[in-house]
Amino acid sequence: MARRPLLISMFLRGGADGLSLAQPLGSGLLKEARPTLATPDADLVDVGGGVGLHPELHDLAELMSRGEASVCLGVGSGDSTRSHFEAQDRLERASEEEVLSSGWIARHLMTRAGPRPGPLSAIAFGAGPPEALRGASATSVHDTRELVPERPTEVELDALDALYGASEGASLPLARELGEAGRATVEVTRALRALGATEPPALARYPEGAFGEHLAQAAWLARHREALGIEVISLDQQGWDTHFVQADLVASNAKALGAGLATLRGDLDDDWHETTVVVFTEFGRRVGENVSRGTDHGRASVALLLGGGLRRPGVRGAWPSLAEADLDGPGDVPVTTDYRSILWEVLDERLGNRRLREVLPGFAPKA
Amino acid sequence: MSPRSEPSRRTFLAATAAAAPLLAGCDRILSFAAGLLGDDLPSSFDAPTTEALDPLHHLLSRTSFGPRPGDLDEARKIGPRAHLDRQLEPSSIRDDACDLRTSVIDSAHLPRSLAFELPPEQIELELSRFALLKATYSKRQLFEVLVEAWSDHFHVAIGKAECRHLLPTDLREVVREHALGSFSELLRASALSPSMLVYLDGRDNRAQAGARPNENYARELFELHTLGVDGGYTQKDVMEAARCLTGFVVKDKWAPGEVELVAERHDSGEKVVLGQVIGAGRGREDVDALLDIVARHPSTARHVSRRLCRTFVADDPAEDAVESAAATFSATGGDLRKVVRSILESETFAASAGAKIKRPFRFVVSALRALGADTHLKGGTVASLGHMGHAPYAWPTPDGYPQRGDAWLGSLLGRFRFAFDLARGGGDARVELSRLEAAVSGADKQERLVAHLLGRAPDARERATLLERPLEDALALTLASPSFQRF
Repeated sequence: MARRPLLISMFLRGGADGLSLAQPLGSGLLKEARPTLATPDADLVDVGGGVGLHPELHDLAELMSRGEASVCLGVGSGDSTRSHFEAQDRLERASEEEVLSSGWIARHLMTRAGPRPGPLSAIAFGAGPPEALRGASATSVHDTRELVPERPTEVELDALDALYGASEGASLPLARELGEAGRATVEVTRALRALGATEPPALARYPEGAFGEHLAQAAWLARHREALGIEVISLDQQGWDTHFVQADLVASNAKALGAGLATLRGDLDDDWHETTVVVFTEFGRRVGENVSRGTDHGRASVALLLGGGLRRPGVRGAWPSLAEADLDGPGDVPVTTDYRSILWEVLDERLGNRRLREVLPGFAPKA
Repeated sequence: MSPRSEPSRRTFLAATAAAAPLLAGCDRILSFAAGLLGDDLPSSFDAPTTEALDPLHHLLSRTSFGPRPGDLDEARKIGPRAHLDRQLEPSSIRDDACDLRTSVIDSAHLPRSLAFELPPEQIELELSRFALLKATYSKRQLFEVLVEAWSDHFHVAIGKAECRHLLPTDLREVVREHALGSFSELLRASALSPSMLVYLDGRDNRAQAGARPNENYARELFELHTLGVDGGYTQKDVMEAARCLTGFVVKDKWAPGEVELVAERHDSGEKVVLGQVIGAGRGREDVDALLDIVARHPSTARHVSRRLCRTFVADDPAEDAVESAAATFSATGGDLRKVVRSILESETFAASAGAKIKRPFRFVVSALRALGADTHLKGGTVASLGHMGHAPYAWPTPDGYPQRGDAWLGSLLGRFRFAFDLARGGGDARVELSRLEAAVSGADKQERLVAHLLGRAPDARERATLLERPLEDALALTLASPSFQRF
């Protein structure tokens, strides 16, 4: 049987500046609008398609050259409030035409083929599951150590296995289903306990800070995903709301992101073909820098797509001219790629979901 | 309780309630006071001895969130009939201990405008704590079971816009006000509650030349709240109902959360709903007329009765049980107290022991109640309910959390964990197993406590599997066992 695909969903919270991450090469207009913030072309990593990646994203450029990553330009939603909250919800719920309050990943789990989602189908790092998982039963953790239970012990698991085994024969409604669910849960608990005895996540090889720690633990979980029944891992990188002196912030975030992704890819070597990493942010930032050498909330940004055997790696789409007449509202990059076209592709080509219209109601991809 | 003790108890309660804000940080004092007011474990109690589920345990399991130590004895003493009579008249039951425990929940008491001042995280946490505390400690248990049922029926999701800030007051004024009253009044309260107007876009539904009204609420009114999806209404009825509902707004400044009908946003033309004409120019009365038409429709009697039968009897109740409850509904004009009574006194009910699977909320509350746990829900219980997929009011869609057991079979991992945490006192609830052990009657204390949790004597396999180990482990395993997932 083919192995189940794994989705790793990352969200860059705060509104990542797409123009800094994948800067148009040779754009005089950008240098004019960003006298202190534009990176000199010579420092950028040329990845084709007329853009250069931020120097700290050289690891990502390397993955792109191997056909394992793509950078999508001009990505965004129809939300024009430029509010973090509204824009994040919109993207994570992935519904534009009708107001849904469930998340797109939750809808995927409910509609994909195969047995019903298990206790650990979706794991989210952080205080609670993100909006993308609203409507699914998702386990949220700060640290994977929380997942490894002290109790029930092996002996107690044997007892539970016996009790749920006996319950399968009872005449009450759902007797068989309850029995099966109980025994499956006993099995997952055993797997978690066994996991506690294995080599811990390789924190040292990942970037410092919460994002790196979560990535390291995500890689660790991903390696054990068959035993645990994991299909989705969600994590965030915070700190992208760069209104003030953004150059250093963007550089350190980009460095953690690029290095983290590359280490993750190395750790997932055997599973990389079944793995898809999607990276979104709620919006991009204004073209012109502000008085405090930062940028304010804008519209379109970039999205990243990674995985083994990607069908269309490299740079996708193009930035518009950045001439004032081509910008949106107060001077923002207009959205040229509906984020749902990327979700559609991921669901269709990578996750094998056959009920796409239920996951993305009201959306039809351009032929 | 003796009548003589009343005045002193009342004085004590008044004094304690007045001091409640000061006591907010003093959980042990609150627990102690709640114990004096009736929360404490009994000095002795009986557990069921029959091999089949004890019928009285069955009645208690469905009319409450699960029996506490001593509940069975009390119900046995007065008899099932009197127990039901009492539970159907919740205002006749004093609830001092629970009132005291919930007095520290700010949002449950503040007026709507002040609830708006509280941070969203606090509101969300308090809504969960309040629901759990009421379900765990209220002596008006049947009432609380109905509060949960109507919260699902007229579901408002905490995640949408300012719903979380509107919910504490709306839950008081809608489901808590009418849980055992008249269905049409419950429906009316829900229809014009600010949280529903926000959740299902009623506030954006306005008459505008050349534009269609927003049908979101009108559709759910028919499909979920009244007639049911096969109840015999058409798309035209939905559109006409939406016209009746145009023009309501929810204020956000000066008097946040107040609902108002703005005349110029209201469609004043004639409407026809389910074949009945609502004349032009009636303004706010359009809504009254609309709600009367749908509340009295025979499909509504069946649809609402089916929910109550699912709540009290089985996931797939027999059609004649639903018809019988619906007949009571129609004959009494939707008197919920009478409908609930007719269901609980039916033979179908008596024959349904153990047929339902507890949802995580009920699993958690029934475990806390069975062990007589003392908790203020300040630690991990609320979060673990979230991990089990059942954080109060968090279901994203208007149909409310699923009632059927099969939707909840994926939550056992969290249940196992909760069971072991609770029995060894590792979470935010304190249990006193030695006191339970001393109080339960019978020689084999451990076997008796397992019977108390199961509602029957353990069978041979359960004896072999559950007994002969430390009490704490035996009880944890019982809570995690398949039988405790049923009710």
